[in-house]
Amino acid sequence: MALDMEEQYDRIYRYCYFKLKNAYLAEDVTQETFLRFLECDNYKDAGRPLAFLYTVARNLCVDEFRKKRMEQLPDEMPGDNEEDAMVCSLSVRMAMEQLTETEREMVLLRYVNEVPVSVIGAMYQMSRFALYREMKRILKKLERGISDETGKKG
Amino acid sequence: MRQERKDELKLFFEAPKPLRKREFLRKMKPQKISMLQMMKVQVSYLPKWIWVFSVTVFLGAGVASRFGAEQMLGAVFAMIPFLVMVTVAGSIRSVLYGMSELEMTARFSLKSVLMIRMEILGIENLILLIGIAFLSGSGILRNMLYMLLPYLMTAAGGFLIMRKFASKEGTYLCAGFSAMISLIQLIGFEKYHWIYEARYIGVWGMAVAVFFYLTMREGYRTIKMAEGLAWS
Repeated sequence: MALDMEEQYDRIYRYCYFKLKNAYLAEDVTQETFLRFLECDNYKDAGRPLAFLYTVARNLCVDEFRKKRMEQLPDEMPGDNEEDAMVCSLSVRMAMEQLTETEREMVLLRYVNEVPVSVIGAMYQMSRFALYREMKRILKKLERGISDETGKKG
Repeated sequence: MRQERKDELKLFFEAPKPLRKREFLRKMKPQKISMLQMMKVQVSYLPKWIWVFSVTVFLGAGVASRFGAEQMLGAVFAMIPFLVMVTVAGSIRSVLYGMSELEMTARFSLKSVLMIRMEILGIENLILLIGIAFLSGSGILRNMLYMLLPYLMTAAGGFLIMRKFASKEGTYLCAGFSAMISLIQLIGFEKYHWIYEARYIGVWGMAVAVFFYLTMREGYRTIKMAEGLAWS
C-alpha cells in the first residue's frame, strides 16, 4: 500500500495537534514520525504502513508529554482559532467536550482523518466488531449531546 | 454519519496551518524508478549460471525433441524439473545467503525484489517451455501439459523446501526433489506410457490446475516469509 505523504502529513499533523494542543510541537512530532517511518521502511511495501505511522505518532506524543515540554510552550485548545470558533457550531463544540479524550480521538481518527477501521482496531487492539460497537456508542453520545445543547438554546 | 456533521467535526479538529510542511516534503521526496528499470537491475543481479543452465536445458530438450525418436520425449520432459530448481534457488538466494538484511535496507522491499525475480525467471521458463513444446512437433498443447505438470510439482515442492530449510541444505534438498520428480517422469514415460494417451488429457489438465494452485500458494507463502523477516 503506497502512502500519499502530502495527504498523510496533514492528517498526522492534525492528530498530533489534537494530542499535544501545540502547533509547533505537533509539527515537530509529525516530521519525526515520518523520519522514523522512512528509516524503518525505506521501501514501498511495508505490511501496514498507516497503522505503523499512527502508532509511531501516538508514541512520540506520549514521549513529548513525558518530557514535560508542554510546560515551556503556551497551551492551545483545539478550535481556539477565532474564526473556527465562530464557524463550528456551538452545540457540536459543547457536545464534543462532553466526550472523553479517547472518544474524541476515535472520532478524529474515524470521521475526520478517515483512517480505516482495521488500522484503528490495530491501534487500540480491538476487533472490528468491538470497534464498530464502540463507534456507534460514541456517535449516539455525541448526537444526544448535540440535541441536548440545541434543545437548551431553543 | 451525515456529511454536514463530518464537516462540523473537521472544523472542531481544525489545526493551525503547518509552517514547515513544504520544506520537509521537498527533502523527503523519494526518487522514483520505473518497473522496467527495476527489472533490468534484478536481471543483472541474477547469476549468469542460471541463464547458462536454462539455455543448456532448453537446447538439450530442443535437440532431443526435434531430432530424437518419440522415446526421447520422456527424457525431454524429465529435464524440466531441473529448470524449476534453478528458478526457485535463484529467486530466494538473498534469503539463502543471508543477504536479506542488506536488501531490507535498500530502496525496494525484499518482497518486491522476490516477486520481480520470480516473474523474470517464470517468464523465461515459460518461453523456454513453449519453445520446447513447439520443437516437440505435433500436439503442442498436450506437450505443454506434459511439461507443466512436473514443472509445477517441482516448483510447489521447491518453494516449500526452500521455505522450511532457508539454507544451503535447502538447495541440496531441492536438487534431490527435482531429481526425484525427474526420475518419476522418466519411469512414468517408460513403464506407464498409457498415461500419455489422448483420453487422459482431462486428468492431466486437472492435475496441472491443482499444482498450479499449490505453486501459487507456496510462492505467496515464500514472499510472506520475506515480509515476516522485515518486521522481525
